Amino acid sequence: MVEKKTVIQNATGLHARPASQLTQLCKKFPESIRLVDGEKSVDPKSIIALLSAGLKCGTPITVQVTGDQEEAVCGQIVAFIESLTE
Amino acid sequence: MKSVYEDLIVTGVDARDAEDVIRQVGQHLLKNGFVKDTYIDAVALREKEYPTGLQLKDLAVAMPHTAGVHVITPAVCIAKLAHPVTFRHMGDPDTLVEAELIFMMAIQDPNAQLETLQKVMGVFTNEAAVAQFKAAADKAALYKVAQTYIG
Repeated sequence: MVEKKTVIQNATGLHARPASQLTQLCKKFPESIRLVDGEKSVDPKSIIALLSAGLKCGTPITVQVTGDQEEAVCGQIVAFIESLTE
Repeated sequence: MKSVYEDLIVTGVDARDAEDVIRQVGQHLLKNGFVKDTYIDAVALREKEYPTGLQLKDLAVAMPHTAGVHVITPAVCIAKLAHPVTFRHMGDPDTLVEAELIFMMAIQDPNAQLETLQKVMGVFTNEAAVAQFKAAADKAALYKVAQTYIG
């Protein structure tokens, strides 16, 4: 497993549009992916789980990926989260 | 923050497709003064690029919405459809769902969107709540369930 820490930076957090985009991105990968926010661990391949988590601006999260391309996939997911501006 | 209003509970919406659902349900938000006249077109446009269909365990729903600039007063318009209508899935636009229940959201403050979405997700992840929404046979029953779970 590979894990990288990041922070939700866009002002409105992971609302509908970025959450949809993140889910669609994660679903492209066969690797197992979790977003960990303190006690909560979310499967970002589930849009319902992701929106239910209510990940707001400023929330530190750890992206955990397990699988063949775990390093590259983890990097892509973190890059996407850090690219969010709206 | 209040989201559910009696005038925004609708049943028996007979629509031919997702856009028709949005235009019919959106009229209730418009005529009751919750949204500007740009809202419906904006929701219809957004749904094409960012679909909002979701498949729950026993029911498919959709939660169309748009940017806060089109909103006057925040609210959620809840509509039961006369028959299921096809929406594209929010997390996978290549997947289609047959939505029976619509939660059309008018969110004014972008910072409040996450909170409103969480409230609605709270319904979707609660099997008892979903069963009650599904079983609500008329406007009064639907309004009561909506007040209970969304507020």
